[in-house]
Amino acid sequence: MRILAGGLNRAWLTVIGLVLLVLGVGWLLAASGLLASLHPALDQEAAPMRGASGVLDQPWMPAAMIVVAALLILAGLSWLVRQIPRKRQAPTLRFHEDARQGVTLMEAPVFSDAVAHDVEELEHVTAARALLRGSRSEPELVLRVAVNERADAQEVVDAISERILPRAVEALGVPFTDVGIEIVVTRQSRKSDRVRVQ
Amino acid sequence: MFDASTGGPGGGEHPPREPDGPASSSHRGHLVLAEKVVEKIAAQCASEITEVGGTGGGFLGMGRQNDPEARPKVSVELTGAIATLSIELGVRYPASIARVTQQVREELGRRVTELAGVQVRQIDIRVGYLHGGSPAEERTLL
Amino acid sequence: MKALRHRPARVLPAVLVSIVMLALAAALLWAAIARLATGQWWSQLSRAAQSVEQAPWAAPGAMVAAAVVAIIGLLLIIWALAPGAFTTARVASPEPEDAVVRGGVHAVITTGGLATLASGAAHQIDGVSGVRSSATAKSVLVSLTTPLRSRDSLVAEVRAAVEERMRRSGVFPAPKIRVRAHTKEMS
Repeated sequence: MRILAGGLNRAWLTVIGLVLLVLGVGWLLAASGLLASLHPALDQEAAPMRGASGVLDQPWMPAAMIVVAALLILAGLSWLVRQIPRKRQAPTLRFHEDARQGVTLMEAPVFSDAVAHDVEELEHVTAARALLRGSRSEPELVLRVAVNERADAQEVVDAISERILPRAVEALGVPFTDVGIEIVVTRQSRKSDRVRVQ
Repeated sequence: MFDASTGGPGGGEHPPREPDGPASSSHRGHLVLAEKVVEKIAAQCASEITEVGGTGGGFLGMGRQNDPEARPKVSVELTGAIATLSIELGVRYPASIARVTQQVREELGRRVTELAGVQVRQIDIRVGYLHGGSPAEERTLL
Repeated sequence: MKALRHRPARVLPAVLVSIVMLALAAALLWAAIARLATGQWWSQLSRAAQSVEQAPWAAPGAMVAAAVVAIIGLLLIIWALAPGAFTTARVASPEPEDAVVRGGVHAVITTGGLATLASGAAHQIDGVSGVRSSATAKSVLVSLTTPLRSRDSLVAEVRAAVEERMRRSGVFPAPKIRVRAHTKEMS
């Protein structure tokens, strides 16, 4: 259910890969002598790193290294953090029309917990989780439903569509813009310890 | 007959005479007492709306037991004869939350004004939970 | 609903590369701080700088390093650009009324779920002593163990049962079912 950084990862991996590829191939081309005609420094026998010790001894070198290190840390950490799956849940839902008479607020998990509970009452469903995205006026629902292996996934989807969704829309007061259902299959046949007594 | 400014029915003992005015402790004491009374009235009215439930116990929102039979938690601020209310309640699922809360707002405003003699200007509602179904709810089967 | 049915997000290479970036940053920081504190560069670094000064483009060590860098770059590009298999398969879902859902209901089942369904269906066939399945959104592979020596009819039966299970589950397009049977003699 949670969102991963697929696009971001692929984009940066491509960029970094390209840079490495160009550097590596470039060096090999120079080493092979093919680039000798372009510039004397690119001649096969030239020493490209001449003056390395001199550069190292420059007074600004340590500062430059610290700056580069800081940039790398910033980039590396933010990229790592971005790998954490995100919920992107809806913010507090607002049900009031005129704030001057008073606001009516409800946190999104209160609603999605109720929907998940409803789904769990369906036959063959062993567990369910729900997530509301968007806002109260443009709500999107995502469900993750664990279904017993003997059941037909399609039947559970139909039951959700016919029974669960209309109730959710009745409570929310607004139709969903989109609904996603992710089915996982378990071998369990019993729901968690709950007994309904009328 | 109920009088908001004395905080209790009729006679009994009066606190020792002090200079009157908004800052005097007797006035403040009366104000706090009046707020609590309005809170009780409001909670009672809210719980009488069939699709509303209350909360009880717990600390900082954790461990709070959602109890459809209990009275909702109300807090009132009285400024003069104007009251602003803030309620935390539960609503039956799948009743329309917008409709039920608006109903609470209207009825509560009316009844509190009737019973406590204060004008209710604003009622903020927080829906803390949704409880499933009346006793007559059918089982869902595939 | 793209989060439900997506290509792999390439989290592993992203994590590896970020860790390399952080390690590089740590090395740079350490060298710089040591230099500022002691007035001298880390001895390996200054010796490395000196030896590198003499090396031409065609130095063997340099060429090997360049090749390694190029290969890593290429691998990263391939890893990034190859789409990879979808993580879930579509399940047929009804068209809901506009009053309930304005867009659509998108239902998917995990590839693990497909494998579990296949194993479940195979287990019910007489003659099957053990099953292990794996699945992608496009195909399911069922590996059976059976004490029977004549396996052909068993394989056909299992394939039919798994295909029927997939059909009833509403998975579309129906994945290709491959069944392999292995005779395990009773001991």
